[in-house]
Amino acid sequence: MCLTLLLQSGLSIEAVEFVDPTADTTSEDGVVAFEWSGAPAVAEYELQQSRSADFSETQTRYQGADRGSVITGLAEGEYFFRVGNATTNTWSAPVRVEVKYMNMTLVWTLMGVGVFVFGATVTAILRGHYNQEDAS
Amino acid sequence: MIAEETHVLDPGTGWVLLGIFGAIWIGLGILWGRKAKDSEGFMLAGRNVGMALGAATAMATWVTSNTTMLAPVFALEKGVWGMLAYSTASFGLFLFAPLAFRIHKLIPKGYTSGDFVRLRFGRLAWGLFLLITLFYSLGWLVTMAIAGGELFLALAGIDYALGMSVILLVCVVYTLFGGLYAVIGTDFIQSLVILIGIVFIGFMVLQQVDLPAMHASIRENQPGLLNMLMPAALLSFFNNMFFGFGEVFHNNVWWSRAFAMRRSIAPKAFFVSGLLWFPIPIAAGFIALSAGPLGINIVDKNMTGPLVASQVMSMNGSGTVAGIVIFIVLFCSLASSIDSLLAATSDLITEDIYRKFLHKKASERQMRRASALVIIGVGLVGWLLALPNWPLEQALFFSGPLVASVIWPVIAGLYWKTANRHAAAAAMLLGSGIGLWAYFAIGWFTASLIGAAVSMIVMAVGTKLAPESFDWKKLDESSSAATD
Repeated sequence: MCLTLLLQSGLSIEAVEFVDPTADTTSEDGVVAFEWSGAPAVAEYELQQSRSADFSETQTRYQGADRGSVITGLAEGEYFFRVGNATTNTWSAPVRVEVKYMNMTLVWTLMGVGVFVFGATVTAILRGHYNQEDAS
Repeated sequence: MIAEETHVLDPGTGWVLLGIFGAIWIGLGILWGRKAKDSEGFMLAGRNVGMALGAATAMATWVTSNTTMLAPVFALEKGVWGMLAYSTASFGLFLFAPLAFRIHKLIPKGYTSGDFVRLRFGRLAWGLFLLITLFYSLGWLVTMAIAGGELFLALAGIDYALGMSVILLVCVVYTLFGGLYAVIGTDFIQSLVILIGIVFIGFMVLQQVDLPAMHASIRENQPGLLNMLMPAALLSFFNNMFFGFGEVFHNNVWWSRAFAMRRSIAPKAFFVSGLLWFPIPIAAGFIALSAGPLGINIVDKNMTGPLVASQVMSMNGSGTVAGIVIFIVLFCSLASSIDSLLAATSDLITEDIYRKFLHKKASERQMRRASALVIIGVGLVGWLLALPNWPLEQALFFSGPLVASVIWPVIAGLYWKTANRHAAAAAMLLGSGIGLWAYFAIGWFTASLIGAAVSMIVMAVGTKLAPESFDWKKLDESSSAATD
C-alpha cells in the first residue's frame, strides 16, 4: 500500500545500499562495522542478519534512523546481512561475512610465549629486588 | 554523520562545565606552583610526595581517555577476555613498585628515565630510547587531545577544534605555572572525581540491567563475547599486558613520579594505585556489554562508553545528570593524563637534551625558562597534530611493540651488573622491528607480545655472550664519581 502510494505520488524509492563493506568480507574476531547510504524516503532502517543467502530466517540486528551499526560477538561461520525498509520490503544487495578465527596452533604457541615472557619478567624483577647489588 | 545527532547536554552547559573546571585547574596550578622555588621543585615537586598524593597521581594518570573510551571497546569486541585484558595494564603499576624502589636506590638525585638509559647503556641506546619515548608520548598526547575534542562534540555539541583547544590550553597553562606540584595536586582531586563518577555510573547501569536477561541476550546474539577461546581476545590479554609494562617501565611520566615520591613511599604508592585502577576497565567494559541487550546501537565503536552510559542513564530519566557526570569524569581523566605527559615530556627534553647537550651550565632561571618554553612547544605541536583530527590512534597502537621492546633493557639495566649496552640497543631495535612486522603480518593483538619476547631474548643472550661489569656509581650524577 505504502509502495503504491509512493509510486502514485511520483516519488521514487531510493535503494539503501551498504557503503562499507560493499563486498563479501571476512572477520577473524567476529566484528563487522556496517555503514549504509541514506535514503530520504526511509525514516527507519532495518539491518537484518541471516545464516542463509535467501534470508529464509532472519534476525533484526538494528532498527532505527542511524546509518551504521557495529556488530560484535559473531561466532565462527557464515552470515548474510542486508539493510533496508521492512515496511516496503526493499532491501540492499546482501553482504556475506565469514567469521574465521585464527589458527589455534598459532594461538596456543603465542599464548605459551606470553606465559613464558610474563613469568620471566616477574621472576627477573623479583629476583633483582630481593638480591639487589648495592650502588655503594 | 551516520548516527542521529543527539547530544545529552546542550552546548551552553558544556561550555559552563569547561569554564568552571578549566578555571579550577588553572587557579590551583597557580596556587600550588608557588611552592616550586627552583627547577627541582618545578620538575619533581621537591622529591617529597607522600602516600595519598603518590597513589592518587599514579592512578589518575593511568586513567586516560583510553581507559574510559578503549576499555569499553575491548569489552564490546572481545567480551569477558576483553575486560580482563584491559585490566592487565594495572600489572605494570604493580611491577613498577619494586622498580621504583631500585630507581630511588641507584639514582637518588635522578631526573628522567632518559638520563638512566644514557648513563647505563650509552648514547646509541639512549638515541633509540628517545625516539621511542618521544614517538609514544606525543602519540599519547595527541590522541587524548583528539579524544577530548570528539567527546565534547559528542556530549555537548561543542565544535571539535574549540573543545580540543580548550582542554589542551587549560592543561598547558596550569602545568606551566605549577609544574609537577600542580600536576600531582590536580591529579589527586581528579582521581577522586573519576572514582566517584565511575562508581555512580556503574551503579546507575546496574539498576537498569537485568543480569540473567543480559547474559541470555549476549549468548543468543553475541556468543563470541562469551567464548573463552576466542583467539583475538586470548591474545589481546598478553598483548595489552606487555603494552602496559612497556608504557610504565620506560616512560618518564612514571619515572618522574618515582623520583618525586619519598623512597619508602614509592613502591607502596604504585602498588595501591594499581589496585585502585584494576576494577576501572572492568566497570567501563561492563557498561559496554550492556549495549546489545539494551538495544543500544553502536555506530562509532570509539564512543561506546559515553554513548551507552548516557543512554542507559537517560532510560531512568537522569539524562542531563548523566551527561554532566560523564562530561566531568571524562574531562578529569583527560586532564590528569595530558598534564602528566606535558610535564614529563618537557622534563625529558629540558633535562636530557637542553641541560646535557645544549647548555650544560644552565642556571636555575635558564632551566625554568627552558622548561616553560618546552611545555608550550610540546603543547603547540600536540595542538597542531590534533587540529586536523587525523585518525592518529593508529600511531599510538604502533607504539605498542616499540615500548614493549624497552621492558627488558630497563629491567636488565636496573638489576644486572653484567647487562650489555649493545644488547640493550639491539633489543630495542629488533624488538620494535619484529613487533611491528607482527602487527601487520599477524595482527595488532600480537605485536607487543612479540616485541617484548624478541627484546627479552636479545637482551639475555647478548648479555650472556658478552657480559660487562657496570659500576653502579656512574648512575648517580650528583656524586663526583659520575662520568658521562
